[in-house]
Amino acid sequence: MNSLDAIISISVLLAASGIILVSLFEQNENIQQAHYLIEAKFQAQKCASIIDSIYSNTATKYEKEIKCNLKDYTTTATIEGKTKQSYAITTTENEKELRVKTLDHYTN
Amino acid sequence: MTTTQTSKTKGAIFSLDALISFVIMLLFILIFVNQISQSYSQKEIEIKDQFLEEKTLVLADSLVKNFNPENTTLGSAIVDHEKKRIKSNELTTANLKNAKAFQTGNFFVKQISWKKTNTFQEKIILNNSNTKNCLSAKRFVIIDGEKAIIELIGCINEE
Repeated sequence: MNSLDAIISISVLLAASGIILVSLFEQNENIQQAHYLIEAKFQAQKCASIIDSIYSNTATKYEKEIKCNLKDYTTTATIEGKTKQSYAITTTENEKELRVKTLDHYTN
Repeated sequence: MTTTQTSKTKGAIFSLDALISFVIMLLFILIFVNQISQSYSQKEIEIKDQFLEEKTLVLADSLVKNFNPENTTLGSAIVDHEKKRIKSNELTTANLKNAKAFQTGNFFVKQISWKKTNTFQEKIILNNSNTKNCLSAKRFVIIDGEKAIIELIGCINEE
């Protein structure tokens, strides 16, 4: 009887520990996905910041790679299949290279 | 003698001891998981704040450094036609009064106001939204040849 008690309690403990472990793995997976979403959002905002700075300072060139898809006011970044968007203050496109619609600082 | 008997009736593992240690372990796991989810919610708020901060500061910069005839919210500086260039930080009341509403994503410009030395503050309300999630950016400028402080208030719509 005593050993049966022990077996039952150990089994219950093991089952509960198993459930906890599985839920922790699940949580870990969710955290990883959330991490990718946050990274994508940061990337999209970084691209928007670059475009905004180019616009507000009327820069003429930006030679570094821009890791976003740009269309009109929207910047879209994808990391590990997770896509997030941000918005710039001017329209842009990057089919071949980054093109920011800036104002002319020096007029003709 | 009594102790031995109690141990035997309870089996190899004392149920109460095991229960207490198990509950403590569960509590630790709960605290750990809770802390992780809190740090992620904090990051989400930080991202929103960063978006508002960046847009407000950049628009304040653009307002004083550029000239945009379509919407002077994006640029109200004077154009020097002789030197063929924009005069950064030199604005006109006429340009400022032509400011139109501006919105990108859930960010919008709520108000632009300016105060010249020894005059009353003037302001243009571009959006009447009651959102409290706003940020103001101020710049020292010259308006119509007089020293002034201009303030732009940017907000994000709460979803």
